[in-house]
Amino acid sequence: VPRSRGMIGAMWSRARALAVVATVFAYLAFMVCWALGDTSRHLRLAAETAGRSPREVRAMVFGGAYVHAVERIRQMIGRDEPYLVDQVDASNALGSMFWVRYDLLPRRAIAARSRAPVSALAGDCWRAQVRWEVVGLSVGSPPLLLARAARVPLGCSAAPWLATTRAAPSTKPPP
Amino acid sequence: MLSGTLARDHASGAVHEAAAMTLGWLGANVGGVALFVAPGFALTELFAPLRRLGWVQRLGYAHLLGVFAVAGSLFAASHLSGIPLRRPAIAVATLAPCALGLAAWMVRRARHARRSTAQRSLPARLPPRRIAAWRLVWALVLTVMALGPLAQALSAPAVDWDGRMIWSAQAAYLRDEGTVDAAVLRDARWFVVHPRYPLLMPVAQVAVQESFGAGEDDEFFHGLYFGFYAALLAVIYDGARRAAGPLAATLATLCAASLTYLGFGAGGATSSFSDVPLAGYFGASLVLLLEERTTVPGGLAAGCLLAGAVLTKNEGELLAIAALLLASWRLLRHRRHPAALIRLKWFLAAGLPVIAVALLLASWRAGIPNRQDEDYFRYFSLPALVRGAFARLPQIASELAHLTFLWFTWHGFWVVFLVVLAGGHLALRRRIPRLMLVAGVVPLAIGLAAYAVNEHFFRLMYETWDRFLLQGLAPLMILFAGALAHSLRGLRAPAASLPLENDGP
Repeated sequence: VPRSRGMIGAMWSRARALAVVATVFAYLAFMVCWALGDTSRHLRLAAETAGRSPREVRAMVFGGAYVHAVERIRQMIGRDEPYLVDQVDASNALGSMFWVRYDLLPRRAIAARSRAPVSALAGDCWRAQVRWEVVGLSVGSPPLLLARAARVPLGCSAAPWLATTRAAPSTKPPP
Repeated sequence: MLSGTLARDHASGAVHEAAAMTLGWLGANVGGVALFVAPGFALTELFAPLRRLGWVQRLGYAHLLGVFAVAGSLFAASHLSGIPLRRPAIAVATLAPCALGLAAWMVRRARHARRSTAQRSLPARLPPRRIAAWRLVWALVLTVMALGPLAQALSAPAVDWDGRMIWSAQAAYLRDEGTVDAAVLRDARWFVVHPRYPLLMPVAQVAVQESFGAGEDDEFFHGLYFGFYAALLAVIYDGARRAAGPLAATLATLCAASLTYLGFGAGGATSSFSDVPLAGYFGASLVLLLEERTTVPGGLAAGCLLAGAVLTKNEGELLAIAALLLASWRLLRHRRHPAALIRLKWFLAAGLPVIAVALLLASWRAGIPNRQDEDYFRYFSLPALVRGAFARLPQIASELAHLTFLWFTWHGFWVVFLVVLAGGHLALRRRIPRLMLVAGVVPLAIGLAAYAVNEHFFRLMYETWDRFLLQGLAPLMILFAGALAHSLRGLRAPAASLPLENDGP
């Protein structure tokens, strides 16, 4: 009886090991095929971008309208000039301000709707002096550029970017 | 400069747009990897445990060490001495480790030559090792599988959320201002998300972008992130081979490489999240701390990798503490052993870089007002943790199970993982798989603690759980290999007669 029990135990151990190894090999067979399919798809996509400029590739990925809108905003807002950034209150617009902010880097952004208390904003000399506001509509949709009437609040000195533009006024037409 | 058309016209400040996804783009991405692998490879010459490794594994560790050495030294130089993050500083940060490694190699060669002259009876060269055909096949399969993420990384602009929102945005600001103490981070009026997140990866991005003169739309840093994917696989193979032998290690590495989420997911190789780098640093340091002999060079290498983890992500500090605690177990186990003093030195060598980097990070953070951040530590307290854990446990458990076994993300991998673990549970009798299990659970425990104290825990789970699984991937895959090796041996011999293998150094 002990001998047969030992044999059964050994067989059970082998069967369990076989099941484990078979599971791993079956998983790998499936996933390696999947991964090779992915590789071929991504190589094909990569080949489509060969020789194209980053702008063209961005247009392929984000859409021509979005890339064009970002280009225009970049032309309007200088690299050293900040802008207010916001997004519309819609579920599909969630995060669109982060999306467009990346494409406008290294321009600095100020959140149009601040979570800071009003008392803190009262002493903010910059916000009123910002000339542009960028609004995300949804991820991948062309963002809106709004011109703002910039003014220097009482008791504040002119922000550096405003002083620069006053010295050399922009001739660019509004969007 | 590899693509001349990418140059910024410094006179007009305009950026030319004639760059193309051509050899120049590819070259800049490959150059971005070489910028870190070359100094990292040189540094592995200083650490005997890494020098002894095979080429593939050594390159993996080289990438991790290189990013830490170059970006870490740039971070320190910029913060402590105000040295601008520009080409001269990047050149020094890259070339200094190369020179150091070269000098170490020459000294070693000279010593070796003297020894060979003294012992002429020894053969001058060992016969070349034969590589088994199956290893060549798996290497080929792995290479082809990795081509998918590589092609995606090199041919598409950044489309990942955290990369655009946090890491690459920070890098662009740092590059623009040429310092890690950028005014945009230090002035609370600017809209910056997570301004206190550690900056190793953004500084590494700056090094690549600045070295190759990237223009406004050029992203030459994708190769750098793919390098971390390859490094993580190399670390998994190395750790699994030490713990379970080459066949189980090969199968475990193939399983890891086949994870679509690791390749293409949010936080994967094609993104610019910091989770794969963190997984690489955490895994590599664990391999050196738990599976390597307790020598000072080994401890120092592990310490540098842990310091890299601290500088990569917030969780890095907690993971570093966990890794050191696990390592201290080796220290305590043989405290009456004659080699106890060497073990103490080994442990100190591992801990000191972590402490130094943690202090540097604290000093840098001190000048930055926190904003747009969950700020877990403000809400964290033991009562809040216990209360949240109990009150939310059913919801958290059911959602996490759903996310872990979601076909779309993991394609059933964690089911296979559990099957292998159940089949080879006897492997847990051994020390290394047991410690790796604990190490693999640490990132998940960090996630659970965050969910317990954060009121937006539901959204947070969906955004972060998969990435916590990634962070613990290296120790979990080493555990997987250990359990699989047990089943592989079980095919040859009955379980009862299986000897427990050598428990590591």
